[in-house]
Amino acid sequence: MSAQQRYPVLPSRMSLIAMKTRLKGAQKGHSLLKKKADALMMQHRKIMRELYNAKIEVIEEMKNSHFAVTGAIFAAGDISFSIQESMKIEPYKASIEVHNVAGVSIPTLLPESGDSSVDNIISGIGKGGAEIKDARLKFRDTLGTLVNIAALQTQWVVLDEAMKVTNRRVNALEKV
Amino acid sequence: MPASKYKNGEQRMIGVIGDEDTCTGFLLAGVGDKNPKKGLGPNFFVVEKMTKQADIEEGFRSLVSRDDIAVILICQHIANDIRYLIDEQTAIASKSALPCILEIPSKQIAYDGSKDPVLSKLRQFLGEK
Repeated sequence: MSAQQRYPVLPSRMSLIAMKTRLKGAQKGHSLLKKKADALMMQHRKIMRELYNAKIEVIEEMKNSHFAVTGAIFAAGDISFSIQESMKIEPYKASIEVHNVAGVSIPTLLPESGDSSVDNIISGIGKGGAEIKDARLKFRDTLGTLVNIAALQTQWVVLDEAMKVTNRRVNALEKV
Repeated sequence: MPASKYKNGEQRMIGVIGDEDTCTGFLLAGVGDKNPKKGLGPNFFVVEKMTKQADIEEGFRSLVSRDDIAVILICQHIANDIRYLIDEQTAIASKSALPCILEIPSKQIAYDGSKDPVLSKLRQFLGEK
């Protein structure tokens, strides 16, 4: 603290007590903020590892799914009819859940639960029907995996942003 | 781009911007919207070799501004073409975390981890920390 920056204070015992209370309050605020930053960082790190592994894995899964579709086209010839049938069911929906982590509200995505509607799509018993059904299910599973990855990604990005802001505040308190 | 405020328990669709094979696969899985709301188009966009850049940008913008889409799956080679739009979207992600843009590999073109912004950031973090 430089000699110029001084609080204009009446040198009495009461103001001493008041100053001490203020100091305690400021320290408590600072430590709470640090705790928040640490909690955010912990979550951030945890998600990071999961997200990274999941992203690497899904590449392989997508390859397999594409392969299944190619197999279906090979077996059935033209699958545009199947695609039109697929359009008739309700579109795939992901549910949004909002969680609270250290005061930051973070959205989570959940893949669709209970997809009995997929089994009801008529794949036909003609040539390729089984392959089409297989390809459809494979892609459906991949979709679930991708939704999970998207959920992790949003969480990670939101946490990243929140961490930056909180760290800025902590640093402002510490350095200035 | 308007921020889409999300509510707890809300259900949203998946959008797809991809080549024919990718869209075929996901439509087969049931991603397609059977009753698109008035004014909003389908929740997928097929990009072929001759699709113009402007059309791709238009398709991306329209999907991103919708508030009934939670995730946009986009093939990586297309993402490279509209990289600046995606960066813009992630930059304002602090206001609206959704829709989440996920880059996926396409059938022919191999996945390049260094081009995916999220993956390269992850590598950076995990490599250093």
